[in-house]
Amino acid sequence: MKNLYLLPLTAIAACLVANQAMAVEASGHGYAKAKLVSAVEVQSDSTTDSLNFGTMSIGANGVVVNHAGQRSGGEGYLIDDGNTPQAARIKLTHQPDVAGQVVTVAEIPNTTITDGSATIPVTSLTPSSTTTTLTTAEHDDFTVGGTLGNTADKPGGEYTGSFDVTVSY
Amino acid sequence: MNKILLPLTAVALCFTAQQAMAASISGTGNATAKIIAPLTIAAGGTGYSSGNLNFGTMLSSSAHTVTVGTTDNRTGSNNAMLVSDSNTPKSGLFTVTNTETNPVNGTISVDSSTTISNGTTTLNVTGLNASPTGSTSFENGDTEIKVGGQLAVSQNATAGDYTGTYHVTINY
Repeated sequence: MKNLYLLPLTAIAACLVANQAMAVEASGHGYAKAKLVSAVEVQSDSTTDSLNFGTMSIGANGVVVNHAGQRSGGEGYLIDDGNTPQAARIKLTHQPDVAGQVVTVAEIPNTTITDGSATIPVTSLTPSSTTTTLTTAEHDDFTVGGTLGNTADKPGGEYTGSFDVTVSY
Repeated sequence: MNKILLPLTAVALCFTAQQAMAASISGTGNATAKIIAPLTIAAGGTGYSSGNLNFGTMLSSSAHTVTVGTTDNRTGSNNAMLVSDSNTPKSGLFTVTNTETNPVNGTISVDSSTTISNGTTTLNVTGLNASPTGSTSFENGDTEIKVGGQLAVSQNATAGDYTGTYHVTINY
């Protein structure tokens, strides 16, 4: 019998406590702040890190610079001067705390290079590795090679262009 | 049935959560190339003012052929028709200049035939040939190309100075 009475009392007490809590209300404005940064950034210096097919005579077709920077194709048209061929260097700049994160390089779309009037296609843009495991270094790099299209009937000159590199992690 | 469904649902939720966490980001790479036209060709050269292929002077009292080789040498099918005077036979001469420090490979070709005319009569020149010819490595500076050919003189061709043109082409 004692238990039968106790139960309602306990319920009432609980309600009272709840009401008391609701009765004491205060509000104000707090401030929240956040700075969102991308954990990884894709960077490449156009001055020092370009994919460079080097120098060649008009008529070179299918000159390849692989991801190690080695040039081939275009036999008979290649000119070795101070303009040394090289693969593009792509930097994955990141904070140390994302070390261990595996980054995947998406297929790189074709592009073109131009002297301002004529264009030459650049295809088969291929990274040195499609995955990179980030380290504690400031940046982890990979390289990109490609194939230059037909230069026949193109005017001589300096041709430049860019290509998009997308990574996911 | 419910016991089986629950684990599958849980797996699906986890998968969705992982997809939402994946991020992709893009950057820009750069590509360059230098295309040059390092070779020029011009008629003439050292010791030559015009570079003309000159068959010299000859008679036309009978049909004959006159051949000039690539070393300024002249021969004829009938030597009696050849006249030696100040109009010295010479091979054609072209000078190719490579402005690049390094050699440039190219292929030399020449028209196989042409004609020369004095304005009324036309004579055929065949067998045009160049030396060097075909695939050639052009070093920095000048490379000379000499051209020979064979002139067919028809009987009683009118007297006069005959001229014509032909082309030398370098593909590189």
